[in-house]
This record gives sequence, C-alpha cells and structure tokens, in this order.
Amino acid sequence: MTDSILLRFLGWYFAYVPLTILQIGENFILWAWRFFSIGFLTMRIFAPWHKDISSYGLGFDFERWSKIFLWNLISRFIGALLRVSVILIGISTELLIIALTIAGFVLWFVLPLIILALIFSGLANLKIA
Amino acid sequence: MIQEYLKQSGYLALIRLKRLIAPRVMALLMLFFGAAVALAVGCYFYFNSLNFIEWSKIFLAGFLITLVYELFILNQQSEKNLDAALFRNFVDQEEFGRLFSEHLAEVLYRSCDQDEFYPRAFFHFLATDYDFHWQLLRLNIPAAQFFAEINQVYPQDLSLPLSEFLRTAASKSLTVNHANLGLDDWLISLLSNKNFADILFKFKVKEEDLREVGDWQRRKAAMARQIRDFLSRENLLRIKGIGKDWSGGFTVNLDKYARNITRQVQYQQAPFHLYGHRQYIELIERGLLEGFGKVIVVGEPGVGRHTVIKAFAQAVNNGQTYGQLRYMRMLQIDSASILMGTATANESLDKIRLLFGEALAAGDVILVINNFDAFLDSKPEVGRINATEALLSYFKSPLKIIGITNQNGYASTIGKNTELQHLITKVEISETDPSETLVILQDECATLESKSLRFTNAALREIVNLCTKLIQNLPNPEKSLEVLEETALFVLTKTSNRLVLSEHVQKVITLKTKIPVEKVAGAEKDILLHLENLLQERIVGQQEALVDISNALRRGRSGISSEKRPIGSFLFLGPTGVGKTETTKALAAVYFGNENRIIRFDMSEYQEVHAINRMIGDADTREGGTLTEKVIENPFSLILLDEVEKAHPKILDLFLQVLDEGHLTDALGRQVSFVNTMLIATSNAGAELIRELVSQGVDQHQLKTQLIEYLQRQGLFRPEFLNRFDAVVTFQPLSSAELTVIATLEMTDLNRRLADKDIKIKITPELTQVLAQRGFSPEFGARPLRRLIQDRIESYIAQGLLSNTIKRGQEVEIPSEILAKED
Repeated sequence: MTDSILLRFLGWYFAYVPLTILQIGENFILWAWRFFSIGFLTMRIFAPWHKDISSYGLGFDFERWSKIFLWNLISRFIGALLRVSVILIGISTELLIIALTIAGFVLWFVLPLIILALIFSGLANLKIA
Repeated sequence: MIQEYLKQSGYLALIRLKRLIAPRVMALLMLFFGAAVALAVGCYFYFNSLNFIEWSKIFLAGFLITLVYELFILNQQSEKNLDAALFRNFVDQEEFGRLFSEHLAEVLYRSCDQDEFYPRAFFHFLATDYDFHWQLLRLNIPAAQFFAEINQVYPQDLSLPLSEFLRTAASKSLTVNHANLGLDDWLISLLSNKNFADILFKFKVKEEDLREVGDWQRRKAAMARQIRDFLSRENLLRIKGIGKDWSGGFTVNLDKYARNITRQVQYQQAPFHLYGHRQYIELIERGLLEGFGKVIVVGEPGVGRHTVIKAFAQAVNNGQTYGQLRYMRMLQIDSASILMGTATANESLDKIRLLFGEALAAGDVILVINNFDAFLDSKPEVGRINATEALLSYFKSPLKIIGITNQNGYASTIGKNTELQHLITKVEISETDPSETLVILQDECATLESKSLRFTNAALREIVNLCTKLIQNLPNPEKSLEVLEETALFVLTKTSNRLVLSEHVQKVITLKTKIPVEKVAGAEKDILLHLENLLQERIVGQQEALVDISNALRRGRSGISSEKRPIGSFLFLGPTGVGKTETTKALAAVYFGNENRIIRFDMSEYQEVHAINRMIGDADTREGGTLTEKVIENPFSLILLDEVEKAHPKILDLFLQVLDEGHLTDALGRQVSFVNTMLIATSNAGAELIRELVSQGVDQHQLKTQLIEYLQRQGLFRPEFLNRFDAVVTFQPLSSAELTVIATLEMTDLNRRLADKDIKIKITPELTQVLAQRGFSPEFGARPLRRLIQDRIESYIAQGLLSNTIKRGQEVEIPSEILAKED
C-alpha cells in the first residue's frame, strides 16, 4: 500500500467511496425488495387473503357452488389488490433509491467543483461592510 | 525497523496526518461550520439580507471539506480483520506490521525508535488513552498509582529490544485467534519484562486477567462497530417486511392464548449472549426441517432455553433460515394457560385439538409449547393431561412444533415412549461453562452500569466462581445473572463505592447462601483460632477429640486442604452418652452459627440396599433423595450420620465418593457438591473395648489403633472407608469428675431458665455428686442425667410453684430425698 497520503486520499475519493455509494445503493435496493416483500408477494399474488376460502364440500349444488366460488374469488381479489398495491409502492421506492444512488454517485464526483463554486461565489458576492 | 513495520501496517501515512491535523480539531471545526451554516441561514430569514446567504455558502464549503476529511480518517482507521491462515502467514514471515491494529500502530509510532522500544514513552502516551484507562478500571488498578510505579522503574532513556516483544505478542495473539495485533496483545507480551510483571503482581493482576479484559474490550468495540455500520447489508436486511403473513391463515383462537415471539423480537437487537449456544439454533432448524418437523428443547430452567428460542425466532423473522421456515410466525403457548379453565379432560383435549388444528390450517405457524411434558403425562393430575393419542396425528402432520421441557419432564414422558422419540428430535441445552458465563456477564453488565457504577473483571469472575461452586439449585447463566443484579443493587444501596469489587460479590453470596465465603477475617478468624476453647464451653472432657476436630477445621478454612473435599469429615467412636451428639451440636452452633444446620440421618433406617433410593433418589419415579435434596437446598450444613455401622455397606460406599471427591451423582443424574458440608458419622461400635482399654490405662494413641484394628477385624468398617475421614475421633467414657461437671452445667442451665421467675436452685457439691451418680449408667452414659433432672428436680420446682411453697426471689435447696426417691 502506498505511503503517500495524497495518493491514498485520491484513491479513496475516486475509487473507494464511489464504489461504496453504489454498494449502499445496492443494499437499500435489497432492503426495499425485502421490506416491500416484492418477490415474496409476487409469487403469491393470487393467493387468498389469509387463506380465507371456503370448501366446496361434498355433492354439487349450483347455487351453493356459485356462492362459494364467488366468495373465494373475492378473497383472492382482496389479496391480489393489497399485494399489487404494496408491490407498486415497493417498485416506486426502488426506482427512487436508484435515482438517489445515481445522484449521489454523480454528486460525489462533482463535489470538489461544488465546494470551489461555493467558496468563489460566496467570496465574490460577499459585501463586507 | 519500526518504520518498516509501520509501512507494512498501512497506517504510517494516517498517523502522520493525524499528528499534523488532529482529528478532534477537525471534528470541532466541522461542528463549527455546521452551526455557522444554520446560523447564517437563520440570520438571512431574520434580517432578510443576502449577505448571510453568501456567508452560508462559505461555511457550507468549510463544512463539506471537514466532513470529507473526517470520513477519510474514519475509513483509514478501520480495523483489520485477518483470518487465521493469513495471520499465521504474516507471523511465519515475520511481517509483524501487517498485523498491527491502528491503535497499536499509533502507540508504537510514539514509543519506538529504530529497533528499540521505550517503555516510559509508551506508558506516557497511554496516560491519556481512553482504552487503556478502561482496562485499568476493569483490572481495579488505580491509574495514578500505576503510572507512579511505571515512572519509578522505567527511566526516560531505558529501551528494550522491539523485535522480541513483537514475536511474543504475535505468537500469543495467534494462539487466541485474534483478527489483528492490538494493545492488549502488546501488554501481555510486556509481561516477559520482569519490571512490568512485578508491577502487575503488586496489583494482583495475572496474564489471564489481561487477556479476559482485552477480549472484553474487543467485543465491546465489535458491538459498537456493528451498530455504527447501520448501512451495511447485514444490518439493513435484519427486517421482516410487509405482507409476509398475508398468505397465512387466521388464528383467532390461538391468538387468545399465544404470544407472538417473532413480533416480540422484531425490533430487538440480536442477543449476543449465545456464546456456546449458537449451535442449538442450528440444531433446532435442522430438527424442524428434517423428519416430522418436531423438536423438543430439553434443559433445566435458567440454562437459556428461551434465549435460544428467541434467537431462533429472530433468525426466522430476518429470513436467515432455510426456505420454508423463513418469515413464519412463532406462537408460544403455555400448557398451564391451555388447561386452566377446563373442567374435564375431554374439554382440555378439545381445546388442544382446536389450537393445534388452527396452527396446522394457518400453514405459517411454528407452535412453541412451554412445559410440553404437561400434555403428555401418562399419570395425569392437576395441570397435566395425557393428550398423546390426540396429538399423535399432529405429530405426524406438517405442523412445526417446538416443545420446551426439563430433564425430568422429558424422561417421564417422551423418554418412555419410543414412538414419540421417533417423531420428535431432542435438542438438549446444558448450562454454560464458566468461561462462557463470564463472557455473558461482561456483556450483560453494560445494562446495569451507569456513570456511577462499574464492575471490575475480578468481580465478574468471582460471581461465576462462587455461583458455580456454591449455588446448586440453579444452572448458569441464570444464577450468575441473578447475583450480578443483586450485587449491583447491593453496591448502589449499601455502599458509597461505585466500583464493584470481589469483596462485594462475596458479601452478596454470603447473605444469599449463608455460607461465609469472605476471606477469613475478624470474628471467624478468632473462632477458628480458639475453637477448642469455644467447644469446651459446651463439651466436658474429650480434650483430644476436640483438638483433632479443631485442627482439621483450621486446615479446611485456611485454604490449605483440598477444595474438592468436604470442610471436614469425622468418625466419632465411643460409648453412648459421652458427648458425641453434643459435640456435633456444639460444632454446628460454633461453626455454622446455628444448631439447626444439622441434617441428621439415623442410619439404622438404611439397613436394606433399596434404601439407597431414599438417599439419592429414584431414577424410575424421578423423585429426589433426602440426602441429595437437602444438600442442594442447604449446601452449607453439617451432615450427621448416626449409628453409621448399621447402614448397608452399599450405602456406605456412596460416602466414599463424597469423602474423596466432595460430590455425589444422584439418581436423576445431577452432580451434588458436598464441598461446603461437614460430615460427621457416629458409632457405638467398639464401646466395650474402649471401656476395657480405658480401665487398663491404655494411652489415647494405642486405644485408637487397637480400636480401629478391632473394627476392621469384626468387619464393621472397611479400611478404605475409615481412611477417608479427616479424623477418627475416640470419645472416652466419662469420669466421675467429668460427670459432676456435666451435672453442674445442667443445673446452671436450669437456673438460667428459672431466672425469669427469680428462682435460683442452690447448686451444692453434694447435689451435683448425687446427680452424677444417679444420672449415669454404663448402658446410656450421661443421658439419664437430663431425664433425672427433668423428672425429679424440675417436677419438684413445678409443684412448689403451683402450691406456693416456692416463691419468687427464693433460693431453693433441693432435699436429698427428692433424688433418693425410687421410681
């Protein structure tokens, strides 16, 4: 490893930190994926809500069968509605995280320019009474 | 040379930068700029002047610069985490610098030159080092005294060869699997320098103390780092998320009786006290995935069964388990709450079926049942039921079940049913060993400590040692954690000290167990030094016997004799009524503080071999034995085995192990410690021989030798039994002079009891002589004396009081005819 503090700083600034920003972004993407259970809910999207379905029982009665079929459908619909809502919110969050990660990544590289701009702009416009 | 090592470490540039720009100064600057930005913006809104915006830009730039600097320093300071193979590689190649932690690198930078190490400069730097002061506190070393000693023995210009210490530090660090070479390793390597070793010896600190405190500090630092790394994947993914339980069925009835453990642990930080217990989580996971998915967790209350299950619940919640177990709900029910409120067995069975059925139907439930054996008892009673048949279908179903029980519960239910053993996987949790328990206490004491309360490492070690040795009815870590809390409370409420020392722990244990564990001092020292005199206040004659007993006890309490044997073990031989039992009572009163601390066994009741079950318990009925249960409850007591020659030889064999090793394994598999008991066995065997030899004028030593030979010849005691006692004490028949003294003592005791009524009996030499003659018989010794006093003298006094012939304030002279009367 180099002994020059300047070289080490430059390596840290332009290599290590940007990679870390991407890694943190990746961590948050995984976090959002797990928090909103996107994969988990997608695999069970049409599962009945809390397994709340009725059995069709023995024998066939059209009226009874229709009622049960309808209720089971409603249960699956409720489940699907809630799951899709959460999945959509999750995906939106993921997109936001990706946008923030990219923004952070870019900002880090331009930060020295930003600092210089702040100093020069501040000094230029400063009115010292 | 040091420069080479520092370059290898990769910290040289950082150390130089930190000397140039101190991190604390930068941190203060950062705070200043941050506050200045906020102030400038505030002023803009208040004064409405754009100038403040320009100032805020400049301050913001300053803040960003200092922030980047701080982040850079933090990154460069990050600890090395070398695996064992890499560590060993660097040690073999003598690239010691690659092992340095940042802290050690900085300290050595300040205290080394070329190949020389300057101890004075080293400790001068450590004088302002927070980590080192933390270690001194935990080792109970006053900092000022320590540094004064250092300045005395190490002159400014004294140097020592650096490479020697490096090699020692690296090799010792390797043996304990450290991930880097730290300050603690360096201090241990310094012990090879006599001056430093002498200083630590003065403060009663050994290498193992340094190692324990060093490891404690490393764990603290690791915990702090884990909390700081909140953006790490491991930390962020410690969540369950939304909607994981939407596919599971409703559990309306189960929710009334069950506790949701997974919800409980959701926001709790991972318990770190799983050292040695982490393997059980894997065993439980495997048990749930394999076979029928049923696990029984077996262990005594207090070993950490519920902690292990909570840790498993956290792994399930965080998705850190295999496939089908991830994100399941762990619902815990207690057998007592299920069976409560049901009038008949059928009602209970219906309730159990309902709850189990609901759990099975839900599909995402792991059912945890506390006191699981209460559902499977083949001999149902209040609070217990035999639901084995009803639950068999559930045991064979996909429902995941974790039962919790103790050894007794398992042995009496599942242990007797081979079908259940086939269906249910057993995970046995044993108590933590002393080193694991110490680590648990080190981590746990942080919750009890405050600015004004700190535990030294010696105090924590004392807690573990004394609890392991003296408290037998609870396992570790529970008993040590209990004493930890009690000690903290004791120090806060009863002392003005804020450092918890070993002495405080000893005090708490003494109060808790009534065992005098404090170092022999003060009153107890006086008792032991003058034990013969104290015993003679109650025992007449038997001078040699009392000397034998006193010597053995002095050896026991001064720490010279083995710690693995009882405090003392004596075989009292002699005719009846000569003072054997009285000596036992006197010993109990003097040494144990109370005559009631005697656990007495009449060995004539243990003449049959099956009587062993009464002594040490019955494996079939799982009942404890009288001897073992009493010693567990009262580890500090005197065990009296009366008429020991009458016991069955197999029962006497039990005591061979007790006398030799200080412990006994009972029928329930528990190891019961006898090291804080005193064992006295009494026997009248050979009484005739003693009388004969005494009348022949044989000396004490000869008497004992002939007596022992006689006992062995007659087959009354085996040689290996007799040899295990600390002393075989012979009690001689009482002489008439001694009997007279006893009579005087008994009458004095009677006068003490009559003092309430202001009545005193005149004790004349004639009275005592008559009492001594009439109160003695060869068959019963001096025993009839007490009966004589009670029947004749006390009855006379009672009659006199009732008929008013004896009045208050009167000195009563006992008429001779009272004692001359025939029965």
